Amino acid sequence: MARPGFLLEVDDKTPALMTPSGADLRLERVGVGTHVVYPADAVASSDPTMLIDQALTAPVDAQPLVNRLAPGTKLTLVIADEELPLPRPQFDPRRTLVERVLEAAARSGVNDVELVVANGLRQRWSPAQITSVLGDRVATSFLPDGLVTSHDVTSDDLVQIGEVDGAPVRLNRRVADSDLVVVIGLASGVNHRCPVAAGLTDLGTINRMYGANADENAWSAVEALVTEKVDAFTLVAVLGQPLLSGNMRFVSKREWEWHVADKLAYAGARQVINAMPRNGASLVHASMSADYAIIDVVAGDPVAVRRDAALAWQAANAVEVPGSADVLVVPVWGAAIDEGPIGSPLDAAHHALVRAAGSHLGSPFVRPGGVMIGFHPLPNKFSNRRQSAAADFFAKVLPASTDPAEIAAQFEPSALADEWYLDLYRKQFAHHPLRVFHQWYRTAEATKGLDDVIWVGADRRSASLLGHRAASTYADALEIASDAVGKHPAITFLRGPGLALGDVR
Amino acid sequence: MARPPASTFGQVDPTRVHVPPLLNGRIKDLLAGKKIAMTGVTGFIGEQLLWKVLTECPDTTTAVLVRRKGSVTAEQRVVSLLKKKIFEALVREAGGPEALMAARVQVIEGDLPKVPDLPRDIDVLVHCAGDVSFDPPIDQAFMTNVVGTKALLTKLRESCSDAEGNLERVPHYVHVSTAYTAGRRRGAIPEAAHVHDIDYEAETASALAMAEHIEARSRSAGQLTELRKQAEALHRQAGYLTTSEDTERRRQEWVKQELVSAGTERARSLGWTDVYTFAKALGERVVADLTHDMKASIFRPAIVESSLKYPHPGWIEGFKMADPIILAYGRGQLPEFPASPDAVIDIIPCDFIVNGIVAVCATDPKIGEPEYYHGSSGARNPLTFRGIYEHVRNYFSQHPYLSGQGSTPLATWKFPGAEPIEKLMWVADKGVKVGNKLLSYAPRGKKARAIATSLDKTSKTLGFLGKYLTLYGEYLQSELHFVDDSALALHNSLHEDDKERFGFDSASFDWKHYMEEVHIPAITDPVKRLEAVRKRRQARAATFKELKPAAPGTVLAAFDLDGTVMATNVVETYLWARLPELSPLRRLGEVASLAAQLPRYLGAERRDRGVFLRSIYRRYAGANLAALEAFVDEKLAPLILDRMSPDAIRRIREHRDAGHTTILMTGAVRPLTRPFEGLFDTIVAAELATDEEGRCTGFLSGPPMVGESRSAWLNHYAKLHDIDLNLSYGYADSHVDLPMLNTVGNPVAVSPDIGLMRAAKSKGWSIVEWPEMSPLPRWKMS
Repeated sequence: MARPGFLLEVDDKTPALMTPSGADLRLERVGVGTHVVYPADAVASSDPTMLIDQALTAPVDAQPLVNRLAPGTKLTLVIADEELPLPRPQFDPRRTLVERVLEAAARSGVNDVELVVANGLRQRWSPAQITSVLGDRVATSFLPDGLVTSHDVTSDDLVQIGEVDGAPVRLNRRVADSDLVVVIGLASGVNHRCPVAAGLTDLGTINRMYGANADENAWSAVEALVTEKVDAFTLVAVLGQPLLSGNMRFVSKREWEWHVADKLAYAGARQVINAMPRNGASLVHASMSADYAIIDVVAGDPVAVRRDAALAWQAANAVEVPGSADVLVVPVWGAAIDEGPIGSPLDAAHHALVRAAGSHLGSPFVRPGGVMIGFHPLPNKFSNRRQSAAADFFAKVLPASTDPAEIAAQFEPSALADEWYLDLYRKQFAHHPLRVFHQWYRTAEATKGLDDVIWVGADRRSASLLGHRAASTYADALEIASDAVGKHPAITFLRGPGLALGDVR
Repeated sequence: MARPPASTFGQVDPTRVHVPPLLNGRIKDLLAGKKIAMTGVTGFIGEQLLWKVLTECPDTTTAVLVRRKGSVTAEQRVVSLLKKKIFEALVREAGGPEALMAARVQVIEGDLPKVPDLPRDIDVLVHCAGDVSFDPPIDQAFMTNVVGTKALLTKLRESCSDAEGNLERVPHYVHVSTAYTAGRRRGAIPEAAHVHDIDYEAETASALAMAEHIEARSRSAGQLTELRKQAEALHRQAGYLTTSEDTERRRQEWVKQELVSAGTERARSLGWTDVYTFAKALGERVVADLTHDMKASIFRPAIVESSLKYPHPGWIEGFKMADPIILAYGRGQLPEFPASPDAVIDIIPCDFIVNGIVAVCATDPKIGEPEYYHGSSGARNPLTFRGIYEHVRNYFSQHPYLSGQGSTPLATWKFPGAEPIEKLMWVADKGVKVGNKLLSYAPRGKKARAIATSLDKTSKTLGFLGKYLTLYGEYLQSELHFVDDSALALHNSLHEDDKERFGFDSASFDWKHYMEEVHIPAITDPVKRLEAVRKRRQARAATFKELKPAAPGTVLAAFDLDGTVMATNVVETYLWARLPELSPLRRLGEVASLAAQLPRYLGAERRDRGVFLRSIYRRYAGANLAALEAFVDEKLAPLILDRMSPDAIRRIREHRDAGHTTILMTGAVRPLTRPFEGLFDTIVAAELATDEEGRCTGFLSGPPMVGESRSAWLNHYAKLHDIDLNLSYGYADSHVDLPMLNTVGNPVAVSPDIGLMRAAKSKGWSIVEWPEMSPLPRWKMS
């Protein structure tokens, strides 16, 4: 069992703390009295087969999987595809889960098996991606026959399974037509979304659930409808914290436990990055991936599994924090937000404000009217292929407005109808244009309660486009924040790279 | 102040010197009832002369010989002349310019030397038209100053003669020449005919023959070959038409240069500084010969600059000789100037000249004895070059040019003499040439462009200095002064009431006042205003503008690919496309052989882009086209898309949103353009020819689309689809694409190479930067 996460109160003996900012890794001294939230220790993975088999034979609120498999069963494996985990897993646990389910199906003589990726608004999977996540075995058996597909939210070939508030809910045809759907997922954070509802329905439904005017009723109604219409068996692996290996091992270790080798590795990484500004960062981060231990596998009824998996993750990762702070400090590591080494400003803001700051049990890390200080350079750089819509959002939409309602009314329709974006989504494995809008709505909502968001070492133009501010140093950022929170604020610092679950009391 | 040169001659017995005809009354009375005809009223002196006569001599009428300019008639030109501010009071009094013309200004449409018939009632003819350029081609100089003067005098004679050619009346011909007709003579220049025995008829004939000779020489094979080679060195990549256009431009330029130097050398071989003064001197001789039975006066102004008092202090039209030097000094562009500090620069305010001419018009010289007058200051009120320098420096230290953070620092001249400066200029000129040569091998980029810009600036200053040195070098070292005793005598005979408004005693004013309070402000203020306007105008992008929606299919936007839309080149894309097909060992071999051939390819690229492309595409021989296409779709598309500039994509999409037809024009092979199919309506690319098995032969199925083929394609496309090219847009990055950009109305240079940057700057096209902002580094993809 890994050491659990804990709260460090900085005193004068505390060493400087690992504070990544984009591709840059640095050690930052934080003020005495700062509360630093350390996630649970990362540990190396071990063979999860036993955990999986146990879960499959003793599912929650459901019959064992084998009992439901028969030779004539039309079986579909749905691969849940969510934002996390990042950094990417070296070895994706979904591969083992899929393989175990396929083996079980084969033993039961099931012939009609297909795999569908529930990518929702995220990029559809390229053959290379499928191979890297699901492994050669699955890829060589299923890819050539076209039996692994990614969902297309804009497809005409969706099946209406019902209506919510008078609007049709349409679902991926293969999934709707299947006798049994096995949903394969990962739990690595506080996620309450149903992967089938969020990842396999049509654009309109997704927009009603998570758009600018999203309401919880629509969301739970769609989930209820999907749960009712789709006969699903869910299999979820609960992940531990990312363990960086090799010369990046120091990132996952607590600073006072660094050996000489870690210190040297840190110094080396810094030198490489500083010596070659862009390429150096890529050299260090190019194949940035982490090892994730599987702490638990939960199988069975979708609703129950989601609940149990969340509880398991919570048990392993909750850290007790005494009260909401005035200032929340979130370093944003490029490798933890994007495939590239640095990450885009929109991704950085979303990660800090929504994912990291939102990883709590109801009571937030930072009080309303508090300030968030982020560490990220916010460079105006986007991938033309994957993030074309995001690049245009940043260049055209944000200068005009940062208000979700206004953006949804003015800019969303044209982006959704844009042939170039859709072409990139369908053919070039780009994100759907709506994704950046939804991402921004969540970011804007999270910002609303805060007095200010300040980015250390950020591009000033980018920060102001986001409606945030930029500061050149951490001390300056605190100085700026002092207008809102005074000279001696209570500070909580989220030490990465993984996410802790804040149990704020 | 130094002793003026005139004083060194001591007191002279007034009876021993020539006394010109003097004035015996007020000028307006002497000229009352007379008709004064003038040439050159659209020029600097002529304009003020007309104003002076109309204003000060109410009982005098005028006739003006004005030439037609394009579709603007002489009448219209005079109307717009009279609408100028100085004529305001006169025009108001007369009730409009047309009324003023009807009453007092007769317009004669005509030109020198094809002079029309003149009215038969002219009493005085003032000829002050002439070239103002110091270095006209030899034929032009003779046409205006010798042939033109002769024609004018012949017509004047006709207008005063009866049918048999006998003079009925004796008119007064006033010839405005220049003091520098003295040529390279030294010391005191008297107000008399210059002594020489040059046959102007023979000189004129040979000058005109020279023009034909040089024109013929310019068309000889040897000469044309040389010019073509020069043009090719610059424009070969752009194509034959661009090269031939430039060759023809160079030929005309060469002819002009040859005629100019022919003029200069002929003038110098006979003792004149340049062909301008030489031809003017011969013009004086023509006057002397053709007025043997008429009254004639020759007025020789020195360097005429802005007016001291009339029509208002500082009145000036256009730029005169010294002004560009003064302005360049104020801008800090002249670190040193090769003049002798003690050379007398003979400047005279324009109103002194005009007053002098009007006074001469009122005199009554003896028939057959032309009178000579100098309008100059050097004899009695000399201003040295150092004096000018100090006045200019004083003025600019008090009224500095503002540049960026503060005022422009002013140079302190040490007057080292011409030689060290010429040496320095020679070295600097060589430096610029070497720099440009080196730069032509430098990889393109912002730095190379910045260096090129500073080289261009240096060579501009050098060119400016060089031009002034050759043109005015001699004047800045001149050791002559113009005696102005006759002019002074005429001034002294002015009626007391005329002294104020007609005075022209060159010793009567103070240089400090004239230079620092009148002249320099007069020339710098309008320039400062002009520059402020130009700066504002430049702040707006000229051809890169906000797009307006157009009716679909009426406007196109053509984009170049490599370097403009995408940060790659054909060699790199070749490697992307070709390597994955090969085994690791053969990959290594391919890269090595490509690297070994690279110098050859780069040499080809410098000569002809088409040849370069063909030699690269030969390497595709043996590749399977269908496999190549599949590979591009699957593997290369993400790389290619990531290497595109986001600004380019945004611009292309804006064009599409505006309803424009978007066209991609590239020398790249067709398969590589597959990822762009969603962005462009039409893609023009190189097609790889294949054999029966679908394998590339290494040849193209047609010539690659480079240089002029692009402009031809666009023109034809526009014609077929009824597209307005003037409203259309073009985006490209290299000099090769010049013809393509020339075709459209809104050309934009995108991160241009040096050749295109220079072309864009000279044509006023927008230059934009579209950096590639891929989050992935280059090496990861190739």
